[in-house]
Amino acid sequence: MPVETRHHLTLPAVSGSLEELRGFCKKVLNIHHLDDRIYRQVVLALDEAAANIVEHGYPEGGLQKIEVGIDIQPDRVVIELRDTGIPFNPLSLHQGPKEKGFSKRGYGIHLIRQIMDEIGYRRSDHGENILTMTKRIQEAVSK
Amino acid sequence: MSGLKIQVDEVQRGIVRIELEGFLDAHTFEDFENVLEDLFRQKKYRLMVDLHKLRYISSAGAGVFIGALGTCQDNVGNIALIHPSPEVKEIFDLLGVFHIFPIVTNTEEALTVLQS
Repeated sequence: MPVETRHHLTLPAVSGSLEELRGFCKKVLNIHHLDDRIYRQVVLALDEAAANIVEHGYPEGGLQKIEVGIDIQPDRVVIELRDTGIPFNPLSLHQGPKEKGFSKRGYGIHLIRQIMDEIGYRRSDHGENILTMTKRIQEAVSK
Repeated sequence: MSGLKIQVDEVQRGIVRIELEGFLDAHTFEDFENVLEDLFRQKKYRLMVDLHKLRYISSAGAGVFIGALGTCQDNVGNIALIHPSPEVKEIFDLLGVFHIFPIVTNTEEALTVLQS
């Protein structure tokens, strides 16, 4: 029986969901026996993207959701995140740290750009933010 | 375990050891930030952070370290990282900041760094 390549999860759009999201991603990547480095980097990119949605897409909080899809193809991993928060294009974020208290914030999109090979954003006609991130598997070893 | 557990001990006068266990992400980084703010209010700027039980760190957590290092160094202090895992090292590397932290393997080495 072929292994299912598409996996989906819907989570509350709160930072408390990130641990469950990482667990889901690890479980999916384990099914497909991806190498450790791809595994760690894809989990990190997904976590960073979801954290950005929580912070920027739903600044008022509330009972909102994030839908996550992971599609594992022989040559790539494709991750899609959908939310119905305010229009938010993470690719438009300033690349570089900003200060909030003494902490530095804003490194998430920088990490995603370093890790993933393709990143795309669109706002659907139904009012969804759709972020797609692709990691080519062959390049993962050297990237 | 779930979330982040933080243990703080003053190992010598003015030198504080912090042990992090669990996940330092966008959900938990403020807990760590609050601990550091409390130490800075007490004028404690020589810190060692034991990372061997830290299973995950994201950019929100790394940003706390980067900002705190600046505050410590501005006050003639430093932050020594004890035993970061390969996963934690990788994130600091991706951010290009791994080299700015003293990396040590145990409390004694951290004391040497922080006393110098």
